[in-house]
Amino acid sequence: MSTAALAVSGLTVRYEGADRRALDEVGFEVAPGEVLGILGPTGAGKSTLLQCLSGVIPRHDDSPGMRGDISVFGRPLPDFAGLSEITESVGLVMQDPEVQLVNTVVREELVWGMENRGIPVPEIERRLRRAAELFDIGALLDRFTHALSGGEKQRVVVASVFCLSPRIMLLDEPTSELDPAGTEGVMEAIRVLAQEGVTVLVVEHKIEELAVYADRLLAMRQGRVEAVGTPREVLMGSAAPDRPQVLDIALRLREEGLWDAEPPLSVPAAVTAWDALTNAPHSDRNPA
Amino acid sequence: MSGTMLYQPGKTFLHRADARAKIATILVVLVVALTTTRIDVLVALTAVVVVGLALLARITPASYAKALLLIVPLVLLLTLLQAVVQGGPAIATVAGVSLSRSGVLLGLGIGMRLFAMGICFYGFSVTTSPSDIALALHKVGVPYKFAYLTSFAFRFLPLLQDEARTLLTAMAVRGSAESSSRHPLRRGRAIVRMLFPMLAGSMKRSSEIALSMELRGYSLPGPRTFYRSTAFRPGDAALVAGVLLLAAGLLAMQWQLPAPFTEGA
Repeated sequence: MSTAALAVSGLTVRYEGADRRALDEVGFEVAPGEVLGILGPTGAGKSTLLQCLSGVIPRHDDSPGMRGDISVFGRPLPDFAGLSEITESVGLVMQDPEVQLVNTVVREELVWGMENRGIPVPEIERRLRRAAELFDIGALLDRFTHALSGGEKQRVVVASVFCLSPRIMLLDEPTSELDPAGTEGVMEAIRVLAQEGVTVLVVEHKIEELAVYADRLLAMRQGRVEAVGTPREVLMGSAAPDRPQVLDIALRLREEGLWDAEPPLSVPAAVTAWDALTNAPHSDRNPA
Repeated sequence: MSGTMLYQPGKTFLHRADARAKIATILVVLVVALTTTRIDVLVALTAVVVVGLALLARITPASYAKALLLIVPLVLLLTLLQAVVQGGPAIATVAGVSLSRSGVLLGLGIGMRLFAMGICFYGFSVTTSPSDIALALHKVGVPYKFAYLTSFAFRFLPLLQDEARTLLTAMAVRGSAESSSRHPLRRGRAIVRMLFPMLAGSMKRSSEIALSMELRGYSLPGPRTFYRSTAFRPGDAALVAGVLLLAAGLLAMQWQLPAPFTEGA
């Protein structure tokens, strides 16, 4: 059996003065190259979980008390020399892009982390071109970071962590400020990262996108893991914090006896299923 | 750019000049400004800086007109203060208070000095990219971690401006007349009211920024690479030489020419 990219067991965190644990005996494993979507309502512990996995908790100042075991490709997190060493394997993109843009120009922002790591300039240029292409930010490279829109900032932040080539990327709501096209762009980039062997954990409220792009989902509530499994297993189970609207509709239709097929998780899947039911491709029915 | 002191990209001679040459120019201007209080030398120095910025960076007085609105009253206040506290023959008597001639000259001299240095810094900051400043400081021996902080400060200036604007707008939409008032005192009260939330926000933000920097390897001990490079070209050497010559001329003017006012400052 191959080593898990991330293995977590008994992870418990309590913030000082809080009446309950932020994380309560959390345990799961993620395989290399897997995309794990993390779902849950506000306060479920999703961001705290990502901070633990990246070593921010307990290594950063003002960290809460933590116990439990986390290992990255078989190496326990406490064995890493410091946060900087952990980030060579694990890249974290936090929620607020504004505090993660620390340079004045986008190009400088993307290369800064690589310069800090002493990566040779030709390799910096190669990664810069790749990131610009993957995240569609080529036209932004010479813009000022403070003048970007919220969505552009978010893409630049994700790209700047991608440039560091971590083996695991932790993304905390990377599409919260993006429009549908931007969201799809980031999700496609996540798919490409996974194809290249990068393990991706993504906290996201856009369930329909997660259902399409994640290999597995992990549902959390009040610091606990409620369910882990394929998107279909989790979203159709009772622990799902929310469901894609299209799945809700299909389930209602099934209750009414109007839908026999497997309930779809996304709109494109619903269109395909409808075409199959009516034996007519969607494009053929277009009255135009 | 949202701030008047922030870098504005361009292709003028000063934009293209090496930051080290520009830092050297500033140092020379500072030396001349701080070694004389003679009003004629300071007027000449200010004229040189104003003309130099206009020719080499297309920065005309219109660009820093807003700053002049702040500097001119300051100069007048300084002059008035010196005129009252300094002794010597009076230039005029207002409401029974004698205004000293030497005090007026001293106040004008100090004001002129501030003005020359101020616009010199302004010219430097609008023509020099923050990362070029960091790189130049590093090249002259400042450890990168410290040199980087200069460029970092420039990054967060617009952020603070935006935060201040948001807070003032938030106060205005909740009915505060002070935040949108043109009256300086009322506006000042709004700014004081805004300071605490702005400070609290900055403290929280600074912790997150520090974490973000650490996550990207800022504190790594190993050698770092530099994607961009700078070169000290003949044009930069010419700039420094030209400024040194002008400085020498101004100092010669101070030592060789008689002071235009017998009780010059």
